[in-house]
Amino acid sequence: MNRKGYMLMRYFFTSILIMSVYSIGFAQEKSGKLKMFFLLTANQKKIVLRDSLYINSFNETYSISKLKYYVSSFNLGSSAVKMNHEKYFLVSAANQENAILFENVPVDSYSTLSFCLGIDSMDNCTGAQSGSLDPINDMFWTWNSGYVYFKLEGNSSSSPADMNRIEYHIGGYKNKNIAKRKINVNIRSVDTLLSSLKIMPDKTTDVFIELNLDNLWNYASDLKISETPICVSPGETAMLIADNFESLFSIKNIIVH
Amino acid sequence: MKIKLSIYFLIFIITAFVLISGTSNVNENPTPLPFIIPKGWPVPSRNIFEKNRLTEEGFQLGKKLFYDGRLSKDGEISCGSCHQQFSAFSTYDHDLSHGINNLLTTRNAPALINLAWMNELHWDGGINHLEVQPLSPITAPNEMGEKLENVLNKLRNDSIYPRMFKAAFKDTSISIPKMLKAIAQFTGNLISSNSRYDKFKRGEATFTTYELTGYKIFKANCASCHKEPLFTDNSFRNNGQQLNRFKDYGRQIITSKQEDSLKFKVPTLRNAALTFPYMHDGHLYSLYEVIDHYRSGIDTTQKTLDPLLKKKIEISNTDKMNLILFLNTLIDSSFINNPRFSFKIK
Repeated sequence: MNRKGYMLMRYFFTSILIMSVYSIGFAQEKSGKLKMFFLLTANQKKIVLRDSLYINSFNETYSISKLKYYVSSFNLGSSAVKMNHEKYFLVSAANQENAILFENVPVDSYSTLSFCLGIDSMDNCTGAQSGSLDPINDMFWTWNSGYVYFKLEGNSSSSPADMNRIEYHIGGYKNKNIAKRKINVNIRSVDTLLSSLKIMPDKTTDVFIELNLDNLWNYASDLKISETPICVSPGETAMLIADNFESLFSIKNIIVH
Repeated sequence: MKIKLSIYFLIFIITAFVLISGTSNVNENPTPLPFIIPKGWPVPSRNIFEKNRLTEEGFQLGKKLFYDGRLSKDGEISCGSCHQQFSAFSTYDHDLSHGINNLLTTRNAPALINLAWMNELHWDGGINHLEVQPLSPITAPNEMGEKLENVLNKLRNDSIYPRMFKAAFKDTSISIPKMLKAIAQFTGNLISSNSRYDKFKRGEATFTTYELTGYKIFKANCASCHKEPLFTDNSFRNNGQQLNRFKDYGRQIITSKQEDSLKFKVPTLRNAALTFPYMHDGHLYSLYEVIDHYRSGIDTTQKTLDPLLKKKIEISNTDKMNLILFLNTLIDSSFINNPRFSFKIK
């Protein structure tokens, strides 16, 4: 073998060696996929906009025409999992499906899951935002700048407001009125037999997170349609309603496939 | 033969050049537009163009949008309808501005001057960034009354806008955030810094003795709120007006705080002679009436009255005239006549 051939062989084997070392390195940090589905229910039924009637804890009947909210900052255990392109995801009852796919989630068995309902203060006051924060999504207050984090609109015979309207536009990013809430979702739930959220190598774990609107009306404080049919600006009432947010969420199911 | 060859060569070169320059035009980058802070002025406390790179193409697109009635429901009301250049981008001679279907608003359209130095816009400061301001008049039922979806469809189906959006943002898609950024490039560039007052300060012009006296009166009685060189400190204050027929509590509507009751934004006095009528509801018709309000019209019983107005302001009739002569030096004719800001086609 001439000198040139020898050199080529050397390069070839060195690169194979380097590649195998790398692949071992990668193999140690195995990852799987996580798909979060956001379900919307009231009175144990999937929420249907407009036509269906629901009853709250105070025996007040209501219908829903809009239900939307922003989620972000997802954590599994103590590690943050990031969405692919955007910081916020807008869940809406008008969507066919509300699902976020997280890729490259480290393989592990997680016992806690948390996320934020709302928008960071900075993103409320730094100009026109695009993507899920585009004002066209009808979640931006035009007369008192800032995002609506959670929007519920409908009608109720118990509402003393014009046309029996109910309108809850919850948001606020200033001082004492920051309505963003961290939501800790219990994985070890009583209803289900789940013990942990497992991410397996090269598999997808589907997590079904349910928002049960029945808990909006009386958790940290009471929200009676007859007393507060409308809350459409940041402030004390919005803060009290936001305190009920954490109780809304639970995990319904986890499927690994 | 040699000549013929060179002619062919020349044609080849020219064709190649045209082709190359033609293609390079398509991918041309927008022309950067510098934001020049007038000499002696403070640097804006927040750079509103930080995430909105100023370009000539963006500015021109913003100007077209600003003067386009199609942003409103009936196609009649543009931003420029209530913000007229000849009255320093306020509504000339109107106490309240008009919206679609002859509807009236409850406030006087403020002049659009030096907005890049303002962190909170509107009389009540409800708007936290210049870019998001147009959302308010576009969607308000008594102003332009239009849905954002409809605005977007009108822009997308237009024959000129797609090209202009592409030139400004290097991307054919048209979106509401891009529209807002373009409008902000126009409105944020409405800088008035070339009045006779400015020339006087730069040593390029002189003041008459009346104007000099007026300037002194101004400094003694007005300058703490109408702070030079912007002639506003951008604060919200109660200047002792009565609660009006619209029950407009001003800043309190935004903050929900009792202590903000009846507080309104201190407006700039630049071009003030052109922006009549005055105050948030335009109930004072002339500068004479405004000075009279401060001399004798302040409601001192109000709990949130500005502390600076608790002491009676004494200005003689002669000094009232001098003060108005000084305020007239703040008229910036190069601003109200600047063809770059005007609706007229160049």
